[in-house]
Amino acid sequence: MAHLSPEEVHRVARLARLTLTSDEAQALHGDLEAILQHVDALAKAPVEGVEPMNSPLGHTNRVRADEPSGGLDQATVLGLAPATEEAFVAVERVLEEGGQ
Amino acid sequence: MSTLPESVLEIAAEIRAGQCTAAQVLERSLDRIDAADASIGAFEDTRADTARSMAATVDEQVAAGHDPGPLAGVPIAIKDCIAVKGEPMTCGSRILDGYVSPFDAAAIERLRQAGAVLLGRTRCDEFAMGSSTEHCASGTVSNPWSHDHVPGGSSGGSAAAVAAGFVPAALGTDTGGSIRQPAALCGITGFKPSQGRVPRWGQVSFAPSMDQIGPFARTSADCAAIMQVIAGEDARDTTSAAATMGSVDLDAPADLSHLRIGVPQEHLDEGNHPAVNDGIERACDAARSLGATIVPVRLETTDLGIACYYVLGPAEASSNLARFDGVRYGRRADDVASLDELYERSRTEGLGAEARRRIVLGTWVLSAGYYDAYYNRALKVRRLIHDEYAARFSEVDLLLGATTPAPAFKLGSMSDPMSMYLCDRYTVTANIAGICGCSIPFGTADVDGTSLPVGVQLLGPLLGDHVVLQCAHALQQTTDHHLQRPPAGLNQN
Repeated sequence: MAHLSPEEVHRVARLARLTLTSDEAQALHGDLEAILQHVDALAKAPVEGVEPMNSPLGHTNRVRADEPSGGLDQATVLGLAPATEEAFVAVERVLEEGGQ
Repeated sequence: MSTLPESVLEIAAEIRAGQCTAAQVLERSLDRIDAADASIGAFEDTRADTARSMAATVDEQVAAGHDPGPLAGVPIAIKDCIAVKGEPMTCGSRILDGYVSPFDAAAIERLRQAGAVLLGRTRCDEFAMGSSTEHCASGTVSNPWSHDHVPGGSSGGSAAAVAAGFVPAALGTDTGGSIRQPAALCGITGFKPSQGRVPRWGQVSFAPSMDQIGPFARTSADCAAIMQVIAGEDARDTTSAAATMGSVDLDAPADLSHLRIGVPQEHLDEGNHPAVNDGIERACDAARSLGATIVPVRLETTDLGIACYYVLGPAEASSNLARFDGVRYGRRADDVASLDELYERSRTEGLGAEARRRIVLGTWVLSAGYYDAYYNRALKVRRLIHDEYAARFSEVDLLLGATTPAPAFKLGSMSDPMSMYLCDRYTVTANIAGICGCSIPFGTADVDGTSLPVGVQLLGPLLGDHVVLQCAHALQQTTDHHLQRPPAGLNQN
């Protein structure tokens, strides 16, 4: 089965918002290759006609009663954030000056 | 002080009867931790102040004639990926530096209501990913039986804390064996409940279709006492099971004549350490002597377990760990120029090698072009594994096999991830299928002159938790492997 190339390791890491040095990507590529060689055992499993199983409990679209209940208050939530501004969690500027 | 009780059940009974105080039991735990945890490292930290105030409340209730609850004054250590209100929680990761939980996990609420004393957070592999507790940002944990050896993982700190006698019980989490494997390696009892049995609310998600909170203690009777408190549906976890857990009768005579127990021949692998297979034979003899019918069975999907798990687990992890982005809580990278850089540097600097490995793997198996070949196929294999267990449990009541292929390995000796993953080959399929399991000590192995514990695993069907615990209790009533202790003097000042 096709496995991922060293370049793909970089690309996938970026999708997951991780930055790897080339040494790290090289090492990770080796690890993933060994893991995927083992995972290839799945290809030989007799799954013809077998339905995928997401959860052993068989729950689907289970919802709780639509009743208001207490949550965390604003001050508590803001207190967890690394940076805040008034009633907001603050991050770097997303739009350029004058942007829409 | 030497007459203070050691077990969960005895501690709670004597405190409720006014024969000793929660304060005395807590101080003994704190003294033992002070004396020996520097050489073990089980705890991230202990909170003597809040624990003393919880113990004082229990003692006041008893003095006033009120019952503090079934776990009155029992000191319990908590794996550092279960939220305790007002306490830090790092999940063994740098990315949660500075995080203090604003709420209690459902299991923690229930422990408090039952009168337990929460005395500290235990080390674990980062986000519960690992089999040795070597992937913990704050440091490693030593096995109380030999400080050169790992305690297992990922709940290694909780297992070591109980094995060293610091606490009578601890909570861990088990996504692929993270309670049963360290219990086996540390010579104690560890119970992984059926999926949905203990609410996951407040447990940091790694792979929610397999994650479960469960207890560590010396005995299955003590594990049962904790399960009776923490099990049960919670509306905040829509995957928690509605059915009430059956009761475990701790006073029942040790009699297994009503049970058929299957022994998966795949667990008696020649590649196992010989002491593991000996342990299974000993446990079969013990069960037989109590009247159980022991039959060999096949569990042919055993070999597919690790392959299936290392697609499903990383896939779920890559999705769940996306929330750790440096924005709303936890650690944020300094001096970033853009929001993209904030995300990438916060995550890259905050997450360790094993977490990053699984995130990249999980992202890849979910990506376009590979989803069907890997993720969807693993979900189909999951059904094969589930169905094979279901077929076995229509023929036998329980399964008895290996917890791990070998006793504890040396710290730093297993650098290749794939070898580490294979340590969990006998435990992961229970999580994949959602069934319950208990590891109980059943002898020791001599490894180069060092005596190390060996565990055996009892597996039961989905929501058959009480059957597993009742059987484990019967075995422990008539054997003494669970009474073995680490070498005297090793874990003292």
